[in-house]
Amino acid sequence: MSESKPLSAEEKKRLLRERRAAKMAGGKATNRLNTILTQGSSVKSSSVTSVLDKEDSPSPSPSGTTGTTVGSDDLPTATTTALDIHNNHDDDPDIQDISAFSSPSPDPEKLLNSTQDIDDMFTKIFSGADGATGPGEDQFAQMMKMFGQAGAGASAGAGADGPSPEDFFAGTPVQNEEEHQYQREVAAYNLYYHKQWKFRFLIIRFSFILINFFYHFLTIPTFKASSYSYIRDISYDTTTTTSFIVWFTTGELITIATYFLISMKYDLFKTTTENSIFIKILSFGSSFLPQLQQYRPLVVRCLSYYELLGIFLADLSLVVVLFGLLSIS
Amino acid sequence: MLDWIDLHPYTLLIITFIILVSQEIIGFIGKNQLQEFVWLVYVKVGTQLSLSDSFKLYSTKVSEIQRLNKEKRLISAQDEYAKWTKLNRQVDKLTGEIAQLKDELSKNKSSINSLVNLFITLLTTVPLWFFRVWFRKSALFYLPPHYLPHTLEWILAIPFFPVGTIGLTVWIFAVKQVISSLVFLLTFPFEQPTSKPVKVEKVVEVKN
Repeated sequence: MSESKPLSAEEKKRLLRERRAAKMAGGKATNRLNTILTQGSSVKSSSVTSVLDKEDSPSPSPSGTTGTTVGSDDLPTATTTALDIHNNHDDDPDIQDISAFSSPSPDPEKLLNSTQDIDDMFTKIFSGADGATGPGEDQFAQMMKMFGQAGAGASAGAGADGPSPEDFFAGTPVQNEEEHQYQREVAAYNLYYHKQWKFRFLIIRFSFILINFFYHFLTIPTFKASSYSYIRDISYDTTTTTSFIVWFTTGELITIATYFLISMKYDLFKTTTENSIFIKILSFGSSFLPQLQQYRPLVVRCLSYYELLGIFLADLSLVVVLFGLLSIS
Repeated sequence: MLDWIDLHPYTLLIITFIILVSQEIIGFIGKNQLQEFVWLVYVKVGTQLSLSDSFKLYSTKVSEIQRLNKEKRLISAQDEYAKWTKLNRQVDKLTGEIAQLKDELSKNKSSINSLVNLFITLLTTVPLWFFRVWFRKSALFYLPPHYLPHTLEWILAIPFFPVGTIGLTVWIFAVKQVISSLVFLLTFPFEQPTSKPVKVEKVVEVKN
């Protein structure tokens, strides 16, 4: 039989009461009581008689009718006896799964085993595949101590007062995720900041080169390339021919030096080096050969200088392209 | 026989420049975007010119199923059960047919995508490789002497040209550098600015 819709709390309570009443009316209360007391073992070592089977005892025994713990004190029993006559509903346990009552295992056993289950779980986590309980327990004790210390002085395994291990397990991934998120945002910002400076310098460089080139192109008739080789044999006045390269070199020195100083000040090279494949290879190789780490500063410096060389090559490329596009003759 | 391939250096220079610019534009737009665009054009043109029955049939069936769904929503399943069931059957049948047509069209789409890829390869990659092989010893242009240092001219003459000569290798490298710089210049102003992140320090309350 299957339930078409979930039962409400009241319905569940009612169903439990009816089942219990039916069981009690069916008799065999003594057997059930002895089963509970012997914890379901096949050897019936207990031989108590249930009050339900006792005809001269009107008051019901709470241990046979309610699901109290085996090791519990008399206080809950007395309370239950006093209230039982007036209000049966207060005896009812909290809402439970009906399937729990169909199985012979009683609640007290579950409660007893729950702490053992938690211990087993932690043991399995920390002891690994071999399942050794000795080292696992030591690790567990150490971990609990660590949590206790980290939880501002609470004793290890304190429970209610101190932080529970579950809190730390729940918090660590969240903190790591926030840290990762922050690092990602920082990396994105650094990249954008680096690009911003590159953009500014690119405008300055290209503007300077274009002005320099077109000034000489328009003022000096011989300042042009050609598809024919005769141009290499023509003699030129060297006083006018050197001005272009002088201005070009001066501009390059100033811009590259300024870019280098700004990059060192704002640590702009870090973005380039962090994303560089050489650094990634070095980091990967360091996990096998730690002595490779000593070359990291050298590689970082080389990558920084390579970026500066790239600036010069880009500017020279612009000059070549301008010569080429204007080489029609 | 192959004289027609012997291009004037300046022609070669300009063609190479255009191919490299096209390559950069295609890279910037994205191959997938281009494929989608060509597919949309093909669908539109194909529907109008009736190149394939599938398009017309697909659009007809899609509009039909939209009409049936609208009609279904207007009537109550409980009050007009027979009519609702009939409409539902029609919708289910059309859904199956549309799925079949979609499969057919997706096969068409994959062939269109392959054609686009082939076109891009033929337009950009193959000519460059051909030029690199066929014109590997052709000088594109000569620099005016004494304007650049001799060392620089020697470097620019790589790999095996006389000093002061620019070959295809250096030209392709230079054009790529300039184009990437120009693309960066043009695209960076439109990039979303990123503000400096602020680390939020969590304050953990210690319960006494």
